[in-house]
Amino acid sequence: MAESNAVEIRDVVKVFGFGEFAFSAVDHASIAIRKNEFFTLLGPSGCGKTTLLRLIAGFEFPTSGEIILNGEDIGTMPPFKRPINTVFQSYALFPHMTVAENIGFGLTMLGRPKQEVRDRVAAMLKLVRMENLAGRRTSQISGGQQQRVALARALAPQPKVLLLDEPLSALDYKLRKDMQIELKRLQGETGITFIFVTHDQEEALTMSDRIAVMSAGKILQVDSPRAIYDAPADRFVADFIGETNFLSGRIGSVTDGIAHVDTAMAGRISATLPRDFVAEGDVTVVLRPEHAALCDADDPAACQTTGTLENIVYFGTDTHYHVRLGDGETQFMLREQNKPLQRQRFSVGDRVGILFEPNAARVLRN
Amino acid sequence: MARRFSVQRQTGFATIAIICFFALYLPIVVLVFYAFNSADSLSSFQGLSLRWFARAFENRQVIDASIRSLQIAGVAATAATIAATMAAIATTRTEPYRGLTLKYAFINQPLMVPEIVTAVALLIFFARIKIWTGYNGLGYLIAAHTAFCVPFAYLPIRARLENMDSTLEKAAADLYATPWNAFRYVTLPLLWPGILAGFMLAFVISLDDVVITEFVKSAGQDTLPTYMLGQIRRTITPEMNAISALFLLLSICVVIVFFVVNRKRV
Amino acid sequence: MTQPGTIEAERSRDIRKRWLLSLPALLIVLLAATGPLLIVLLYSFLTPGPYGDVLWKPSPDGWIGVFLERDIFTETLSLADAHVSIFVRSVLLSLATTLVTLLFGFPTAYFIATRPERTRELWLLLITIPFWTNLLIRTFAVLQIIRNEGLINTLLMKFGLIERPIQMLFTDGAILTGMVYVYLPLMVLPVYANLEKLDFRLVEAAYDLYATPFRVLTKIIIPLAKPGLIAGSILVFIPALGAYVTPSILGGGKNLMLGNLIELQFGQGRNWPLGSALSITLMLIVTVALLVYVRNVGSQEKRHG
Repeated sequence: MAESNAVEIRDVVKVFGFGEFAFSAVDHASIAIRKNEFFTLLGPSGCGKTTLLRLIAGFEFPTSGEIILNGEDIGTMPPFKRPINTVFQSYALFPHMTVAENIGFGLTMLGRPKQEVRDRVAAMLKLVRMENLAGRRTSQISGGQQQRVALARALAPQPKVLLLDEPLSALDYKLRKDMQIELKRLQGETGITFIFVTHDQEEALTMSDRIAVMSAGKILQVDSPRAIYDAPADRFVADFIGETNFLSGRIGSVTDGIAHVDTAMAGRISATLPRDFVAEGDVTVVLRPEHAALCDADDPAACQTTGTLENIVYFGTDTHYHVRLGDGETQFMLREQNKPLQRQRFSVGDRVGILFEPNAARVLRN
Repeated sequence: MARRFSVQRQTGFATIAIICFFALYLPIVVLVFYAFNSADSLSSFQGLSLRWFARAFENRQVIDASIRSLQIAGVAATAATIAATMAAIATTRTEPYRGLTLKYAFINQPLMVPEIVTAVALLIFFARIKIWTGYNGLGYLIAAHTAFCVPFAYLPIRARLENMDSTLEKAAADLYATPWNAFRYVTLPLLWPGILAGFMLAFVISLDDVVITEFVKSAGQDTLPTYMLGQIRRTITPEMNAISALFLLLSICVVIVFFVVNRKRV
Repeated sequence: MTQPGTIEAERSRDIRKRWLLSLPALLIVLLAATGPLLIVLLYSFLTPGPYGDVLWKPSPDGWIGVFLERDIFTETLSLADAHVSIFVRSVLLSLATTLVTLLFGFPTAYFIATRPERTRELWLLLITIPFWTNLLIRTFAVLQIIRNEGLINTLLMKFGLIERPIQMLFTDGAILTGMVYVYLPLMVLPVYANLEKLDFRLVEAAYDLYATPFRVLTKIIIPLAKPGLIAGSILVFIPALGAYVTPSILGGGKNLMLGNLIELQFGQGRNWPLGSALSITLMLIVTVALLVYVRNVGSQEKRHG
């Protein structure tokens, strides 16, 4: 199935520094990125995602391991020989060239005939909707336009893989939203594999076909956005993507892939088990805030547990509630969607009950 | 309060600054003004005339010295700029390596030593070489000027390189530019203002030099400044003012070009 | 496929390329600036030749002559008053030059740095023009102002304030005036470069915390501008100490500075070893000044990251 992969990273290690200062920015990472895929490397800053991207681009060389492109290890190939282009975080547009010259640079360097370069530049300008700015200097256009030029420049040589290093981080919220849609469209139209680096989980979830979550140089989980959100592989992924409540307990019984977990804080919870995971003894159960609701504390039969309402945060589309559970230490978060003309049912300091959605909880692989 | 409060205001600073500017330009203006004096000496002003300029242009020694100055400055500044550009590329945007500090120290060394000491050192050194080789030409002056021009040319080029975004070259490499093409199409065009600034600085520094030239020159190798020094020590006529005024004009032109080139941010 | 040695090999190739590139600059400086300095050191230990130059015979006389003189008849050594006074005058005049340029240069640099963006360039140009203008011409310009028939005396006599011209030329005051005049831009430019980067939000914060303008100046602006002030002082002090042109034009034959004393040994004095020893001494003083600078500014920059 190697033909369906655009890039394959095999057990890549990148060590910076020497001796006692040595540290692994990328630690035995392996991923197979498929052709025509929008693939995202997601993780907090310093997790090694940008280093991995630079290894693929050729600005760094792996300490060990292989980077396979078209069945060939390109790990030691200089960047100008790799059919891979990059959209830089700072765009890195050449300030002494016009928009069109920037876009045509790669093809000129490849020695393509002038007419072909011209045609291709025109096509690219059309693709990113910048036809009328071809002759401008890059310093004379806005941030969003610079972003589009950077994209067009990287796409013009029709690379096998396009690398995007947090390209939207310099844009303001509204423009970022527009560019997210634009990027998806471009990826669809060009059919080029995109490898996108970001620390913004929302961006990753909305745009990607698949996401690799990284931490401390290691790849923790590679999966579709839905799978990453609904079935996080471990505590880090569960905590990093979205908000999560963690409850510890002991497995009572297991039936049909559903575990019944006895917790100190919320009694018996029924939680989904990960596939092929034989659970026994102490486990951690995770529950997303939107899978719980507030209920009347005076009706214990209707509620899973009770606590004191500590904080109410209004978010426009929904409202977040922070509840201190019985032990006085655990804080439980839940989220309710706001409805028009809704009255506030509870206020800070109230004793409230919490209701879990059935089977929404999930047992974590420890 | 008569004046509204300003965060940047410091009492008296503006006055001192204006006095400084006035004091800097007054002597120069007087000097130029007397170049147009029609009198035989500088003791009195007797009306405007261009006779001293004409006199300067008829003076064979002045013309020879001027040509020699321009020749030396042209060759020395070019050589120094080429050497400095190469050195700047070799000493910037790198992790520290063995010998890097030594290179800095070496290149900037002519700035650290008083001119008179360098002058004396070259006098001694070249005196020996003249005896050994029998060569007496302008080569000595050109070599000396090139050496003390190197740090001046190096400074703006290095500054420009350090401020240059190194991801631009990475972007070029990413877009299939070989190292040479990346240098040719990205680094060099962006570095060009720095190189030009370095050249002009070196050119002017070479043109202005008195001390080192005075010690190194052989007989009959006066440059314009050493010729002027010799004249000022004897008797001064408005002819010196006329020569000075022309020299000033040249300097001002170069500064303005330098300013425009260096200030323009690409 | 990746060899572990590749990165090191790449790096050592890069360093070799960098040495090759810097070779021309290093060679020319070594040949026509640094190398000859070592010959000066050698010559300072030799015997003067009869018509200048040296005899290849070692002698400590060059160094003895820096501060002492040998009585021709009794061969006893005594302090060379002339040399000592030239040393003292040179150091004092250079320090005074540095101080005066500092007092005038700092406000001027501050003034330029606080102009609006548009006019700032113009003021900067006005300070840069003298910097680029021939030092000899600028000294010549000062000469014409302060000589007996110069602008100052002419005006004073015209207004009847004095009857005879005041002798200003060929005095220490003339040298000081000339050096302040020619070296002022060397002070203003580095101080300006530093003040340009000054974050005025810090000044606002100080005013917000009840500081008076004077306290803002002494507690905020000057401490932050210190690297620039030290750099400027060094840039003025070093050439002032070795000044040759300005004192020889404005000081006449009597008010010598170190530069002129050195020149004398290679000219009329025909005592190259003494001249060499004096040159090395001058360089030692400059080196001390530079070390003070590196200490101060070096540690300062480290502290500010």
